[in-house]
Amino acid sequence: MTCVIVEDLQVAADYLSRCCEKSGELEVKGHFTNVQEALPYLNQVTIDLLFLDVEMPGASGFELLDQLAYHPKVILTTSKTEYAYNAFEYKVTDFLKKPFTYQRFQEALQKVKAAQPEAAEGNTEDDHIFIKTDGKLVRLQNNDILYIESMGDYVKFITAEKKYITHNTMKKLEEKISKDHFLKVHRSYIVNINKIADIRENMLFIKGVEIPISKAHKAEVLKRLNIV
Amino acid sequence: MKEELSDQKFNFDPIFDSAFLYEMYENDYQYVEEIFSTTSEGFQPDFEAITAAFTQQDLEALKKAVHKMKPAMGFVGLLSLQQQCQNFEQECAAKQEFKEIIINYHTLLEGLTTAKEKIAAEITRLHSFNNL
Repeated sequence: MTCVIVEDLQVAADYLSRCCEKSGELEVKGHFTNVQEALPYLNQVTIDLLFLDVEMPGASGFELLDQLAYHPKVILTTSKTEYAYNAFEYKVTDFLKKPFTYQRFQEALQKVKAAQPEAAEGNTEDDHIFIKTDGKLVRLQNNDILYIESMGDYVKFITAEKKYITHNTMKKLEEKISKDHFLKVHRSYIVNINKIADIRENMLFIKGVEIPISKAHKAEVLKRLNIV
Repeated sequence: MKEELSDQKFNFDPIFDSAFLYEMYENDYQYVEEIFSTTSEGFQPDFEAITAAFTQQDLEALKKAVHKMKPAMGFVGLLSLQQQCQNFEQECAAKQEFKEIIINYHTLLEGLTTAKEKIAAEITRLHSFNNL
């Protein structure tokens, strides 16, 4: 597994690196001492596991998680147990209180490994949604949805095969869909990031369909793209 | 960690929680020396951040500076001092008036000053031990 350490205390970062090396299962791709330095890297390179301190100079570890374009497994490394509730809210895999023993580190790593196969099999609750249409609940895999279009009190889900109309609002939908897969690009459009073919000016194209990008969302759209 | 570990046990100064240090690093004293050295190198800037925040009477900055120092003390087995940092940090968060933390600040500063000296002395002892 690949991992990154975001930790401002040098001795803690060194110790963590050593634990990773000792485990023989983790490759440390980088160490950053603050969120500002870590974020551009993490939005370019996909990693499996993030060791994340909470209180650092500048933005906090939780702010980094808010801005990440994807969700790696996260182990919080902090000296404050008060963050346990936030850790739960952010669905972090484990919480290591500094200083921690190698044995405790291994326990955390086991939790990460235990959580991995579930994601690989695509059984997480984040890989699909159910929509109510034509009097029944229909399961749509995130990967099958191209984009979602608002139609007032209704929302249209467009897949490669079919269109589904359901009684819902964009606002409610935004709260329920996977932030890993989808991105709001306009007040009337949410798109599957993986389906974007190209972007020209203030338009993006999915399977030849032109979708507008609003000024308000453009910065976020560009941030989420893997631009090299 | 180190491939060949020492058979001999290093006797830490009583200020350090030796049981904790043995549990953390086993008998890899080369690595313990490294941990103490890294802590010692980072000590001065973190210490200065604490004193600067106090001079500026900035409770928030003081809390943050002590928060950073806290785990560093833990990694070298100064667990009581780590707890003292934790208590002081909470105190900074809870108090409205700067004057309310002054006495405990000086107590903490005294503890940190002693820690700095003890860590430096322990590095010297560990270095000798490791190069026997």
